Amino acid sequence: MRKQHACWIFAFFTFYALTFLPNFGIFNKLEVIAFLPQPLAWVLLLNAINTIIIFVVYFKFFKPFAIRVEEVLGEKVEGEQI
Amino acid sequence: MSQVAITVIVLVLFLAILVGISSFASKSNIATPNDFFLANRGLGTVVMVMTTGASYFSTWTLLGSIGTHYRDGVWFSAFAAWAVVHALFIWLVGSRIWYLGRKHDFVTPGDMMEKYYKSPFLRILFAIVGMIGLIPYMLIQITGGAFSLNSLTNNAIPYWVGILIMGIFVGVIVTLSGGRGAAWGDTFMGFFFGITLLIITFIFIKSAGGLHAFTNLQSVAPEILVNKGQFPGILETALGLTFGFWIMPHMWQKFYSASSPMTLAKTSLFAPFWNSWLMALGALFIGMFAHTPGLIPGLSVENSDTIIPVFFSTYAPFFGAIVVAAVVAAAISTINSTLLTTASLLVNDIYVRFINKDVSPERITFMGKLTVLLMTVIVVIFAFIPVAQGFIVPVAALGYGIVLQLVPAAIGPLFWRKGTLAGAASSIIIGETALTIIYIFGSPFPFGPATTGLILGSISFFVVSILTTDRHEEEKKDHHRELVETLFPDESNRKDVKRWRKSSDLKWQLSKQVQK
Repeated sequence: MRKQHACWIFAFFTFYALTFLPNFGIFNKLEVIAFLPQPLAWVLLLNAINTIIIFVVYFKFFKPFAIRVEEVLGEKVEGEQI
Repeated sequence: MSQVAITVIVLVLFLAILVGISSFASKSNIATPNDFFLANRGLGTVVMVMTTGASYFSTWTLLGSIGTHYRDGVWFSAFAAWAVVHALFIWLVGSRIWYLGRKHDFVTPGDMMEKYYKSPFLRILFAIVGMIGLIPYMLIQITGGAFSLNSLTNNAIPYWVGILIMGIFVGVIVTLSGGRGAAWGDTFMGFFFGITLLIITFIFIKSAGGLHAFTNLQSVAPEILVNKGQFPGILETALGLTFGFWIMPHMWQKFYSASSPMTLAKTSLFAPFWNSWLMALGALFIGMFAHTPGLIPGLSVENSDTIIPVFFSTYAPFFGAIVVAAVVAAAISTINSTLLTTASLLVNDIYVRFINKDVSPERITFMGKLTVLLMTVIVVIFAFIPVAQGFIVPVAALGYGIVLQLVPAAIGPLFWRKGTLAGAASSIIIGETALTIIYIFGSPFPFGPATTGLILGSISFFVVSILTTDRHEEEKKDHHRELVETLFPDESNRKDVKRWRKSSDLKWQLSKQVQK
C-alpha cells in the first residue's frame, strides 16, 4: 500500500514539475491551442491530470484513513455507553 | 449619489452583516484557548473548505496576483499549478497535523515541536519566526484594502483614512469573534469574494472578446502570452506560496481545528477547484485580459495591483463598491486568522509556557484578545512605512519566505524519524540567516533569498541530523511507528494492527475531545 501510495505521490509531483517546462522554452511558442496560449494550455492540461490524482488519493488512501480513525472513535464512545 | 457615498454605504452594510454573523457564531464561545483559537476543534466540511481558502487567499489574490498576471502574463500561471498541490498537502501533511494535534491537544505548531524534539527552545523559534513572518502578510491585507478604497473613489478616500478604516474594522471584528466567529465569517466572506471573482472573470472574458480573447491579445501584448523564463524568480514565489499552505502558523492551526479526518478528506476534494480552477485562473484571466485595448482607461504598470477597482470606478460605480467590499472581505478573512494565530503564539508559546503557567483559561482568552488589538495597532503603524506600500505579491512572498525556513524542522515530527533537535535548530537558524543576508545584500547565485535559505537549511537539517542523536530516540521511533500504523495499517503486521486498534491512549484522547 505504501509503495502504491509513493507511486501516486511521485506521479503527482512529476506532473507538477513538468508545469515549469515553459520556463525553459519547452511548450512556449506564441501559438493559441484550444483558445489558450500554448504555455497556459500545457499547465492546465497537467493541472487537470493532477486534479484527477487528488480524487484517486482521496478514494484509495484519505477516505479509508478517515473512516478507520472515526471507527476507533465510535467504538470507544459506544463502549462507554454500554 | 457620489462614489464615496455608495462605497461607504455598501461597506457599512457588508460589515454589519459580518459582525452579525461573527456575533451569532460567538454566542457559543467558551473562554478556553481551544475554543478561542481553534473553534473548539469542531469545524465541519463546508466551514473548513471556506475558512482554509479564505485564510490563504487574500488581497494578494484579488489585487496582487491579478497585477502580476498583468505584468508577467503566463509566467505567473505557476499559481494555478501550485494551488492544486495544496489539495495533496491536506492529505500528506494536514492529516498528520490533525492526528497529532488531536492526540496531544496541541494548539500551536510550537506545541508539536517541543513535544517531539523535547526542546522549549524550538518552541520559541517556531513562535518568533511565525510571528515575524505573519507581519508582512497582515500588512498587505490592510494596505490592499486601503489601496482599493483609494482607487475606487479616485483619491476621495485617502490611503491613510483607508488604513485607519481597515484597522478599526479588523481589530473590532477579530476581538469580538474568536476562532469560531472567524471561521463562520470566513465562510460568508469566502462565498462573497469567490462569487464576485467569478462574475468579474466572466465580465473580463466577455469584454476581451470571449473565446478569441487570447487570439486578440497576440497582436497587442504578445510578450505576456509566452513564458518569460526566469525560473529562479517563479521558484522563489512558488516555494513560499505552496508550502505556505500548511507551514504558515495560521494555516497549520486550521488543520487542528477540523472536527474529523473526514472533514479534511472532503476539503482536499474541493481544494483544486476552489484554489486553482477558480481563484488562480480567475486572477489570470482578469490580469491578462486587462491588456485589451480600451478596456481599462488609465491602467499602467504602476497601478496594476488595483486593476479591479480602477475598472469598476470607470464603468459601474455601484458594483465597484461591492467589489471593494469583496477585497475588504478577502483581507479580513485572512487577517482574522493571522491575528488570532499571532495571539496564540505569543500567549500560548511564550507567556503561558515560560512566564506564568498557572494562568486561568479565561485569563488566557482575555490576553489573546488584548494581543489581537495590540497587533492590529502595530500592523497599522507599519502600513505607513513606504516599503510596505509596494507591489503586493513581493511583500506577501517575503512573509511566506520567512516562515518557509521552518519546513525542514517540521519534517521531523511529520515524516522523518532521523531528524534531530540539533538538525532542526540549525536548519532554522541557517535558513533565516541566509534569507536575511541575501535579502539585504543580494546574492551571487541565481536563486532568491527564500529559496537559498530553504536549500541551505535543508542541507543543514539532513547533515546535522545524520551526525547527531537525540536522547529520546526510542520515543521518536514509537511516534513514527504509530503514525505509519494509523495511515497505512496494512503495512504493519497483524499484531501491530491489533495493538493500534486497542490503543487505549488514542481512543481515550479522541473520545475525550468528542465529549468536550
